[in-house]
Amino acid sequence: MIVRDLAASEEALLHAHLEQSGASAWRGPFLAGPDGLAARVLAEGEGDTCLVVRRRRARIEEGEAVLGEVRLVPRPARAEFELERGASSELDDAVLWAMATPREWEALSAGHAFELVRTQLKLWARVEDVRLAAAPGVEVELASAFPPEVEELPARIGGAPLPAAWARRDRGWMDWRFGPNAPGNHAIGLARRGAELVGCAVFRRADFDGARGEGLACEWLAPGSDEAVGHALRAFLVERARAAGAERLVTLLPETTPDWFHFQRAGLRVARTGYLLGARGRLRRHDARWLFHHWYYTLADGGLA
Amino acid sequence: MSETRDYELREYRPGDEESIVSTFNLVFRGPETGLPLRTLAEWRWQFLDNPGGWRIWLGLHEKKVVAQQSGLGYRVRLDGRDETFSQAVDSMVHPEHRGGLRKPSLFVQVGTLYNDAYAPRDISYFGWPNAQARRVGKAFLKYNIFHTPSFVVRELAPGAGALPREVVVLDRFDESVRALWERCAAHWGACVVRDERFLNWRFRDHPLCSYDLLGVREGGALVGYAVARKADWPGPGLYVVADWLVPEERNDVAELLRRALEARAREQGGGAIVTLFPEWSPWFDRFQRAGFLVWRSDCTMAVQPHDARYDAAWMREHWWYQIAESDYV
Repeated sequence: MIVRDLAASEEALLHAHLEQSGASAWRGPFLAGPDGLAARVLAEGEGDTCLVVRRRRARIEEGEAVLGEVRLVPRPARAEFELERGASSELDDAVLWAMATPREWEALSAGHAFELVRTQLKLWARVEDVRLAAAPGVEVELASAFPPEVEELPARIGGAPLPAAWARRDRGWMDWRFGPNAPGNHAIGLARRGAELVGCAVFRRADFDGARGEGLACEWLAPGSDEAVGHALRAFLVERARAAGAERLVTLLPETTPDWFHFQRAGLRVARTGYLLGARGRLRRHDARWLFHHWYYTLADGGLA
Repeated sequence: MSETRDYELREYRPGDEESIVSTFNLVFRGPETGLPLRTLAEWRWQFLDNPGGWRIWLGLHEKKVVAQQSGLGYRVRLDGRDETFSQAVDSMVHPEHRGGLRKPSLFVQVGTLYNDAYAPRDISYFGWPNAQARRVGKAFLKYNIFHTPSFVVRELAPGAGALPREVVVLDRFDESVRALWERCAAHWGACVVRDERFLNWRFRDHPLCSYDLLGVREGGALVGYAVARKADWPGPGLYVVADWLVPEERNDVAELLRRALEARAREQGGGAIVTLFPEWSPWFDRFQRAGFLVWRSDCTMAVQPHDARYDAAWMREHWWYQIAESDYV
């Protein structure tokens, strides 16, 4: 196995590879993330593909860890990427994961030992079909940046079983991902009860899963036990979708979270997507079924929207 | 300690069944499981009476079955042709014959012979592996977990306890079900043949469970059916729909059958109706429109395709399956 950091000079070449392989939806820079973690190139065996790993700080079972989102790229010719160049090191990321198309999935499972976490589903509704409810005591403000306490929100999501793995969402990362300088026109909604931050959602109108101009809930952090927060944030999303001219509201959530049901009870239905969520845990216990039950993620985690 | 020379490896022969069941009960039905012992009658029903046939290879030591790889055959319609799938079940090695230094292990040897015999015959193996079977299947059987199906669930509110008058309780399926199945199967790339032989074997003649066979007839012809029973899977006290066959254009029939399922569920004290559909099926969305919610399941589905045209990606998009193709209910 060869592991090395991606060189800055290779970023443009990498984007060209992704464009060629139909993976252009993996948007955004590879090197400029705020986590201070360099993207890596990972080549295993003699296969004709290698992995580029975009890495992110995470919490797994209350400990610090790294989650690596991978993209499959053709194994480059020596003249393009010199895989052997630079230090070879152990890949210490706790979990590598990918939201893959079926074609990508075949290569990831056959060539890189990825396991299927889930056939990815989405929640969707026509905007006018979303049933809104009163949210006493909760106010949502349209914000341009995140407060520091946003990092505490994932721990309050709740559910049974409780989420035990999630990519960290500190203020720096959230501003980088959704703030004014991020690609895309995101609308950040912060829910407060009094002065306390109790939830957030991020809206963007964008193409997703083969459909044009979807109203996407790119981020969703709400305590499942406090339904008023969800009601208030859904109202925010509907308002932004209407303002952006989106006909449908769409989001991804794990089926294990309370809001999976709250969204359905608000009128969103479940449909398949063209994506398969696959992963490979460094520890045996972090296998696909453990991740199915314990990993909280949203569209914010990947590069699809 | 196991040694290869001690074992007779061969396909099942009449007369092996008592030893198979004895070892099965030792491996899978120990006192710690709380499960009842499997009977010979149950085994005969499952394997010998199955209209899709059996797939069984054995390892014997001193004339006693100590290892088995077995499967249930299913007649399928695949791209308009008649083919077969099989479902791996009851793979086992007697505890006293596990491990050892000899490689490949007894389990792998029996599995290899099983594959040599049946892989050319069955277009695909499939399974619903649990956690233990996932590990074994991945390591030895080239299982490809290709799908994580979700349940479609409706929690029951008080309501009518009587069947709609258009819905009848069937004693058993007759040959009129074939035309209904042909009409539905025309929309699907792959599906298990649902004729009276399969349906009566799977449900009517089941040695342990009693199912509600609910049908709608028009002029004597069956135009839709649902098979369900109260079960403690995937949770306690649920009313689980094991099979559903309604033409896509007959929403009226579907509505009658849904009302009938609700009535039977209430009558039997089931707290919720649980079913499962491929997500590509219109029924997955229509049941949601009718008030059902999508719940996570702990099920995974695996295939080992033997024809590259019908790989996991193809199966995910084209195979109509129901809980009927599992042994959960």
